Amino acid sequence: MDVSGDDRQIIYLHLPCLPIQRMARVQGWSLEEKVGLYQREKGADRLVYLSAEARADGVQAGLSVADARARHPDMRFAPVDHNADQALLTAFARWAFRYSPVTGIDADGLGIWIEATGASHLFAHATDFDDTDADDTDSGLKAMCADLYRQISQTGLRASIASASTFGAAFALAHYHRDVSAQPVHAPARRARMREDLADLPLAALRLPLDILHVLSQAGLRQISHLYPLGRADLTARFGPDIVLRYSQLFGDQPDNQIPVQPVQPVAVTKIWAEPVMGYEALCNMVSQLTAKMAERLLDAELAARSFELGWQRTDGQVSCLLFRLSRPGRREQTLQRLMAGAAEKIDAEFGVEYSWIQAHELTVDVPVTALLGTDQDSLQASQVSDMVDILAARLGPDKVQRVVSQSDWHIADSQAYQPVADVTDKTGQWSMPVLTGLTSPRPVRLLDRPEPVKVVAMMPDHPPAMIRWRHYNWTVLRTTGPERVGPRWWDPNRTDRLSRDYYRVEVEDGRRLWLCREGLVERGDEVSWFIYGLFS
Amino acid sequence: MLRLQIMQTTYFKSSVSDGSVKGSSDLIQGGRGGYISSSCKASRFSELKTQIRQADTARSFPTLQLKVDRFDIALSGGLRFGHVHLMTGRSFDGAATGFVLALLRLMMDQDTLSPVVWCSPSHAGHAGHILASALPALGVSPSRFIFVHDQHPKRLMGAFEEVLQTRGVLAVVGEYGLFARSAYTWQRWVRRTRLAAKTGGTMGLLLGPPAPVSGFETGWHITTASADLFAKREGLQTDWRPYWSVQLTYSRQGTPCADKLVYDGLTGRLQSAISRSDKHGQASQLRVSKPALLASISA
Repeated sequence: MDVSGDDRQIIYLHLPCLPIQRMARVQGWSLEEKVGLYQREKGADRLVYLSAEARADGVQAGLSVADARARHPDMRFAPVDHNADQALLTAFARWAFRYSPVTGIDADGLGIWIEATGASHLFAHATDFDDTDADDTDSGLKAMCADLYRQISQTGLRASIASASTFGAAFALAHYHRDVSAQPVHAPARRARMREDLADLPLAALRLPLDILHVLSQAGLRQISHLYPLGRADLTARFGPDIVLRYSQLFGDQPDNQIPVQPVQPVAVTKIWAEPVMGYEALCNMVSQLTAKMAERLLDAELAARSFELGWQRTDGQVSCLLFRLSRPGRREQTLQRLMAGAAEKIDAEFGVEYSWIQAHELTVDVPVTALLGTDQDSLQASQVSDMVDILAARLGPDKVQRVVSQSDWHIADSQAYQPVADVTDKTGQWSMPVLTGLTSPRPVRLLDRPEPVKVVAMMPDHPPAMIRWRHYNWTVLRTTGPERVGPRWWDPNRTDRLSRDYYRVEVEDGRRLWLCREGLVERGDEVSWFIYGLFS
Repeated sequence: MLRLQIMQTTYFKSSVSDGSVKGSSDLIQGGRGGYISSSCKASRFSELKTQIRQADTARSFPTLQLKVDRFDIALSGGLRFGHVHLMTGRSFDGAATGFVLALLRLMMDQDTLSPVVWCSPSHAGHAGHILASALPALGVSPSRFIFVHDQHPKRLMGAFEEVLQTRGVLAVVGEYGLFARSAYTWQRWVRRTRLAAKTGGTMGLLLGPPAPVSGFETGWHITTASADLFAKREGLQTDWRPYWSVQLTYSRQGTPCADKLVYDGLTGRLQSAISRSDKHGQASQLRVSKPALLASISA
């Protein structure tokens, strides 16, 4: 695609230590060790990538492994795996879909690029970014770069981020700008100022082959600013067309076509069974095989899904399916198996299932970035509660796993409401906790589903109860508090309760503490009746 | 017990009459056909008990101290996580629920993030359901709770077992209701929950009417105690703090114990009422009540 143009916004993320850090994680080596990755060149294994520790000890790229091993016996070596590095870069590029739908990799430069044009404004208010230089670059672009830098830094990877109006300029700044390792660098959109920013960069920033760079160096051309006074025709005549092409692409005079990565297609796993599957154990095995395959497929695709459809076709041709949903995207085999653990009981196989499948829906690449590096153990541990909620919701129904929220209502039964748990970390519906000086009305820990009528003996009609008879119990009341009067909802025509209630907390002779209410006001001449409504602790 | 002693005596006599009794160390290692004297048997039993205890504590779980010396000593340190504890109470009494909430408060003071899962039937009838607006007065925030409601006891207890296996949950409370009626189902399920709790390291608290306690780590019976006597002594007629008669009827790692406790919702403290009101050993006269004992023995 064409990524040139003055109004473009390209972000380049350079990961200079990606091969070393990936290999160290795979091998279980410490990043503090001297590590060198080599490949076969000119009949010898030569070092290509080196850890910072090795560089500090004077080891240089291009040295043969035999020499390096002789000089540094404690140094660790491993062959470069370009395919694995490229796969990891591709995974990063897909992960970056959270920023823009157009991203790509630069395998040679160990980086990914993000086409932020038209997407950066979405991040303008996403972070508390101090937009003091809004004339030069968009504040959204800065916020996007800052978020990207933060996310990558959390993985422990060393990263350099730069943004510019062309891919070439972003590449050059991300690789060679002196401040880029500390914070994202933003090139100004105006050409004149961009020339100033790029002037000090070495000519290697133009992505030229080594032999041309060598010739340029011999001619005394070492920085990009050295090319400014030279004519393009002269450069072409002396050094070939490549240098002019790269120079033109640097400032957007020539298109710079980069190929974006493709989003992964929806994932489905199907299985045709040689013999009809029937019986509980066989169906469990069927579900287990499908979920294992689905988890593997999602892991390969670096995707996570929110909902899953388990479908099957019986021998008589009838097709049925079950739907399962997660509260957050997931792909772990254990999670999927627990989610669908009860599926076999619900499958009516009759004479057998001959064809079954699982489809993953609502696919997302919005998984923790640490998952890409296989270091997701902590976040997995933290998400186990979410998984448990999902599993229970799938097994019992989403309305059976609930959180209780407070409601502003004087009527006790309506002072709380249950809501399905959408997110375990959701803190909505906060409850106010009592303070030492606060007076709170007594509330029973257990509330009966409905008030039950009781027989009460009171000294006077409007006095608290002295004796209670309920079911087969006869209780003498030792002490009481109250009443707490709650009036009816006179403004609500749908309410059936039309009488005020006086609530009493009573303690009976054997210690039980009950919550009684007297419905009806004596002074108004209402017909009074007593109910038991709750149990105190 | 008497019958057991007679059997032991007979067994010992017959072994002597056979003339095969040698040194005690030889007898223990004698293998098939060897006889063990009663003293050796006792030492062997204590050795086996030690081995079992060591095997049990091979994977050590943290404990929750009640901060009531009597119970902490009886529990050998406190209530252990990674196990299931049975909390029983009488009908139409919120004491057991209050005591469970007091324990949850103690846990929440130590862990301020993890949620608590409460599994209860959708319609509890005369047993009542938890009223969230009462929890703040006990120092417990309802926003820390995830409620699982299902009317079918097996499904509900299945959910309880599922939560027990989950790491990251502070505790799970299950109201079993009449699930304990079938002894066979109950015992099978208790065994499964024990394994599940060890998998997840979560503390399980089962709340309901008296039930067989076999298989649980501890068994409790909690009732409200009449605060009248206590209030008169303290001069606190208006003191409505929860006042419970708490009986530790069974403890696998400890000994039974009983006491009367006052709970202060503002501080979250459980306090022994008898040690305050009578410091001359009246507390030691408290015994485990008969119904609770019967429940534990019948298991």
